[in-house]
Amino acid sequence: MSENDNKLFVAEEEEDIAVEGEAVQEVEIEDIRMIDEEEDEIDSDNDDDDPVVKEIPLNFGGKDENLHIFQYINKLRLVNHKPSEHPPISAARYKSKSSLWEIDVPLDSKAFFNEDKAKENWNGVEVQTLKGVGVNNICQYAAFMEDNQAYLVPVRTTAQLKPFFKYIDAVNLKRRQEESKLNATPASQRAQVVTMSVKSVNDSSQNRLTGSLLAHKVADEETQVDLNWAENTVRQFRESVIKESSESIVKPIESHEEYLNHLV
Amino acid sequence: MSKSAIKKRKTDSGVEHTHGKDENFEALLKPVFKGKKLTDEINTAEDKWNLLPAFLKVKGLVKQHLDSFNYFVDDDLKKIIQANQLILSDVDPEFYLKYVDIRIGKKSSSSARDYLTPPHECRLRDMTYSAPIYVDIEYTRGRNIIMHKDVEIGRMPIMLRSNKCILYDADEKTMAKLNECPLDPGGYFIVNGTEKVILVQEQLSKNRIIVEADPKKEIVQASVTSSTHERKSKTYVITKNGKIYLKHNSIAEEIPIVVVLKACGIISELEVMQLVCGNDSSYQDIFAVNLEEASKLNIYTQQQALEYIGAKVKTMRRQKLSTLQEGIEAIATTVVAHLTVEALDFREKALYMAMMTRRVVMAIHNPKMVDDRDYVGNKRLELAGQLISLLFEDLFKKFNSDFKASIDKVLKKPNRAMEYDALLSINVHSNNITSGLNRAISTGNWSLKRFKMERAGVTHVLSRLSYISALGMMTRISSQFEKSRKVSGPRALQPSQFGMLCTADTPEGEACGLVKNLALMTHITTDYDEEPIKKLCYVIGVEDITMIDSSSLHLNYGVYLNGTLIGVTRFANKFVTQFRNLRRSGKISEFISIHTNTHQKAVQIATDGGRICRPLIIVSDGKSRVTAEHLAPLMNGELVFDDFLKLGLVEYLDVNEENDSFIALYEKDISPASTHLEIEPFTVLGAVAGLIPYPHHNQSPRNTYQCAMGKQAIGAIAYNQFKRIDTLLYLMIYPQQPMVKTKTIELIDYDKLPAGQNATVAVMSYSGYDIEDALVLNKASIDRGFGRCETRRKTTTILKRYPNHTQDIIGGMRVDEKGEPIWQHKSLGPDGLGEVGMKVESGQIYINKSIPLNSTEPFSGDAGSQYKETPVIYRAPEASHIDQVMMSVSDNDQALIKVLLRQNRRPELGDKFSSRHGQKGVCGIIVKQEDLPFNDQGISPDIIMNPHGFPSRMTVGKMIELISGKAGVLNGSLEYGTCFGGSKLEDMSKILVDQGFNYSGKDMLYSGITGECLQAYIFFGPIYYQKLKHMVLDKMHARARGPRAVLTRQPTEGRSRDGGLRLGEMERDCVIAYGASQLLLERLMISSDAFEVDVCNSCGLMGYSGWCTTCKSAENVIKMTIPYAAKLLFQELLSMNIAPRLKLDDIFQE
Repeated sequence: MSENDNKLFVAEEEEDIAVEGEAVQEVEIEDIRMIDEEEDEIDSDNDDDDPVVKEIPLNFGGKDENLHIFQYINKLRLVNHKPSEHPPISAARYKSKSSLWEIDVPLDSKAFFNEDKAKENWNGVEVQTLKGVGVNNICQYAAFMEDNQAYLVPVRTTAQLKPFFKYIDAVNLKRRQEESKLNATPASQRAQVVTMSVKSVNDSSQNRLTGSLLAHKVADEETQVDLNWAENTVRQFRESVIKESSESIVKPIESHEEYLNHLV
Repeated sequence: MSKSAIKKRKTDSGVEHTHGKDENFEALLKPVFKGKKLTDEINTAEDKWNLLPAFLKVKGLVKQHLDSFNYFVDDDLKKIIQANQLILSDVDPEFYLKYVDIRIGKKSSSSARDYLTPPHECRLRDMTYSAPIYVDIEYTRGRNIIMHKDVEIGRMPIMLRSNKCILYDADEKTMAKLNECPLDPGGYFIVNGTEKVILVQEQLSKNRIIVEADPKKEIVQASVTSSTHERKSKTYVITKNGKIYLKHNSIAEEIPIVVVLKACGIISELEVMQLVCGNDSSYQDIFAVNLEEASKLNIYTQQQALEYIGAKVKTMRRQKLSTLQEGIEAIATTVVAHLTVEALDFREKALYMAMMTRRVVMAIHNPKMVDDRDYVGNKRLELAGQLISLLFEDLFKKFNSDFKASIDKVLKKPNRAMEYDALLSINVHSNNITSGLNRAISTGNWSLKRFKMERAGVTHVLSRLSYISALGMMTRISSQFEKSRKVSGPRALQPSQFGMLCTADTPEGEACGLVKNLALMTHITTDYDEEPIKKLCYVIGVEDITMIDSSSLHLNYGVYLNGTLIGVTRFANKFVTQFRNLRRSGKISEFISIHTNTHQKAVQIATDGGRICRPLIIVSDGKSRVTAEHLAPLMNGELVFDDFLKLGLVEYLDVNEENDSFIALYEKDISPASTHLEIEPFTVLGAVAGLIPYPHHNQSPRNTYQCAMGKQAIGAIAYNQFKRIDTLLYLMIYPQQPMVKTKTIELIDYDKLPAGQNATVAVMSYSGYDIEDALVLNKASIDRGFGRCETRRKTTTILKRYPNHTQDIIGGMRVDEKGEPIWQHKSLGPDGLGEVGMKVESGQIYINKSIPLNSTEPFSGDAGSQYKETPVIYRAPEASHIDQVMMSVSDNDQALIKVLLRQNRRPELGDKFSSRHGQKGVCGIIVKQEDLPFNDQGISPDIIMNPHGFPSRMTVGKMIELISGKAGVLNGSLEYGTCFGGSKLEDMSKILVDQGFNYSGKDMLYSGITGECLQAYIFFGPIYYQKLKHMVLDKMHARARGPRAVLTRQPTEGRSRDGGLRLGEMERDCVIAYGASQLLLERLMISSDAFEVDVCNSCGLMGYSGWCTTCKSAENVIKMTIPYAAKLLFQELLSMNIAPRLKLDDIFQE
């Protein structure tokens, strides 16, 4: 691929799938495409110059599965494929109310890594923390092929994982606290008489946080759940989906026309 | 789409239509309609114009106003109610009041609409034509939840002919019964008896990125005006010293753009680079410096960036927030406010700002990648509905906060005897909404508290000078630009306004190009919900933006919904085609536009309101989809315009989508690449310019002049014109429809309410009284009624009631010793009001009103002597007749008297006339018919026009009008002068020749004076002439002596105050230069404000009665005459501690 010759910029992203639950699984799928039954039909209607090459049966399954997509925004595509690099995820944390993910990836300290600087400046940081907000997406499916059949599994949320330099913020905070201690003005240290008055708080509406501020506050106050990172569960996952979808046949409850009508 | 597909669909939807008998189409069913027999062959190329009347039948000329108002009362009101649904009490946490529903003019219980006072009654009685606003509320009383339906919270002024109006869908009979004109377009309001129009306002589109560059200052900026229901703000991404910054009013200084992106969570610089520049290395080079800027500031994390921004925010808040919180708040809600982030994910906002930055980078790279502010596609029109919606929401919020305050006041009291019913307080404030709406519409001052916006001059009084002036006002668009600025850009004719805005109709002078008019076949969109469209986009293959990673973002086409990136598509063309097919099949609203912008790699979808769009015939495979087989049922009334939309034959395109299309002007121009076909090319003009016959043969400014003059022409106003009592009304006595019509004239019913007469014109010189465009009028024509008009003027009097139970009264007439009424009271009847039909002369009284002397103190005995006469006296150079007298009761129970005075006027010297080609002239002489030239048939002209009017004006259309008119007269037919078409000159000449006339319209005339034939053939024939409202009688003015101003004792100014004629500064210079000093003295002092003063020659100051108050002596006091204004100046100077001293000397030494 010509784009990949330019090693600085990664042209395409590889999506990984993780399943939340007792055991966190990881699935590697070659290509994830959003496929919609109806979309296919519309396509076939119009494109005369684009002949149908092959028809693939579709299967729906895994509606009880808890599938979340992680997009590793800054991971280079080349690095991504190195097998040794792949599994080690040392910790995963999740806040379910705010659907906030945090994942620790151990740093590759062998190359291009300044251990001294990390020790000196950043409290000996060893992991790269990735953070992302799961965004709800309706109508998104993950799919895999098995025996020339496609299996679609609904996706709960998609999260773009981005580096989160917790250690810089931590150091900053510490430094600021120290500074404020050092630069403590005499006024702040002098003993003061504190008078208290009881004020009726009848205008509580003014102090209500709204919108994003509220969401941040909720997220800050929420306790996070530590999750285990499980590997090599793809096989099992696939089988369960295949099994499930073979048990029942999905029937359309409305016609093509009806579907189009309720779209808008 | 193939033909068979159309047929198939037609059977689906077309045939099911069952249309009732339609009066408007009656004419179409007659054996001969508009020169066409039912059995005539139907020609697509010629007959497709029939779509236009079909369009106007559905849409009408003022449909944009009605649509906008209907949308407001039906949909927008509900949204406003929902957004301000709850009223909570600060005192009692249990209490709540919730608005459930809102309706205008209809109770939930009854199926019929409320009775409204009919509009004409409102006009006559100075009332507001309005309907009650009902809300359904749910609230708590003690422990109970109570539902209450149909609570009236105020009254809403109703737009005439909107769907809340009693004239909605009314047939001619009903209209006649209500004293309404069936041709009146509606679209205006009646507030306190006056008809008010909310003019269409033009603005730059909201929530769209506009990129501009100033090459001199090396500045590139992308700006977006965010507008939500709550707030309005503007965000800039701007270059400064080659670096890019974000600028916003509530952030103290510019923030480096990379810091902003980091604050939005784009931490990695790789990702920043990918979002802004993609893979383009030249963009990367331009942008790279910004990354350095951020790293110099040592900002690495989102938190650091947020704190950096938070420290620079300068908004005032009641609530104390930490710097971090300030930063979050600034990014989430303040910047680019129309994309408010409600949760933790800032991605949408980050992308929007990255896109703004990208546009800036693109414009730096290629200076041509900037937007044009004047491009019509970047404009939005704000209509009555939107403006009232803004106002209503403001008033409703005020209403709610007042309501809440009064609820809190009661709930605060700890021990109430009984449970509090909130409903009791609701009526207290109901007047606020009613009076707020009325005041805004009647004054035109739109003040919106929440946007801190004050706008004046939003509404105007509907001009009823003529039918066309009222119509012209309804299609007028005023721009927000300052009129005094000398910029050419916004005033210039834009190529993109083709078919959307009239190319001819704009005023001259300061508002030139800023005030525009809609073209004939346009529609202005209303807001449409975004959500379903977004959903649909995802279904037909758009990849959700939240799933796209930064590196692949710019590889494909971005899909933008109302300016916001919602996803990308790999196959832009296919997506756009699919989307259009869905629209054509009626699955989505026909007013949603989609177009591709290849420069920006974008597919833009617009659903917002205020876009101008127009219908066009769809062309597929090089063939027009509208064919003869569709036009036949259209002309028979089996199909209506909307069926053409549903069948996918016709679609609406807005300006942006037009740019994405290849539109053939005529059917013969269709090429395989064509996508659309014009319905009719003459629709580039508006309603007013449509009156001009053969405008395509005129020099273009002439058409513009006619557009201004057409609105001043006196004619018929409406079918109910004799029932109206307006402040001032001009009516033509014998209006005629023009011999040379246009299709537009028929469509807007100008032929039913015309303003002008067909005059026989001879183009020649006659006497010397025809220089400078003066016209020679035929006295006999005037005797027969040519140019005769009447004026009707209204006087209103209110009989006031006073607090002490006295009131104004109307006295009877006073009689002399013979029992005859005195001269002043001659026109009065026994009731003290003028009698209908009586003549009133200047100085006579027509309302004999008296007011009580004592209106404040309690009433005491002896009533007779306590009144003072304050009669209404008629003062004018000419007598009037009393036309109508009306006595009624207005809204506030006071007696209201209106008297209408009529004057009949025949043309006189100096009255102004004009043809329909911007050729105006005043009457220079009125000549006896005997002296006028005549032709072989003995016809003498009504008007003689000097031929010098033609060469420089180049109004060839006027000449062709004459020929067509003459042919029509001889042929007994009405000819057409429709723009880009009309009756062909060759055919007209043929008729002339067949009737024994010269092909060019020239006749041999004989002099009326000598009886000899004139030496040249004279261009002779009928031209439609308009009488303009400027008449000598209203302007003539002279005075010998008269009133003087109190302060300066100089004569008053202006005709209305019987003022003097000013000898001004320049005239003074002339008189000085001439050396006529005594004339100067007479003009400036003796005839003006001569005043005798006593000047003390010793101290130089003024005294009085021969006594100097300063010197306390009479010794040196000299009498002299100076202008009173000079004396005033000296005294004013004295009051400022400056003593002007006069030193007197004899000029003439003896």
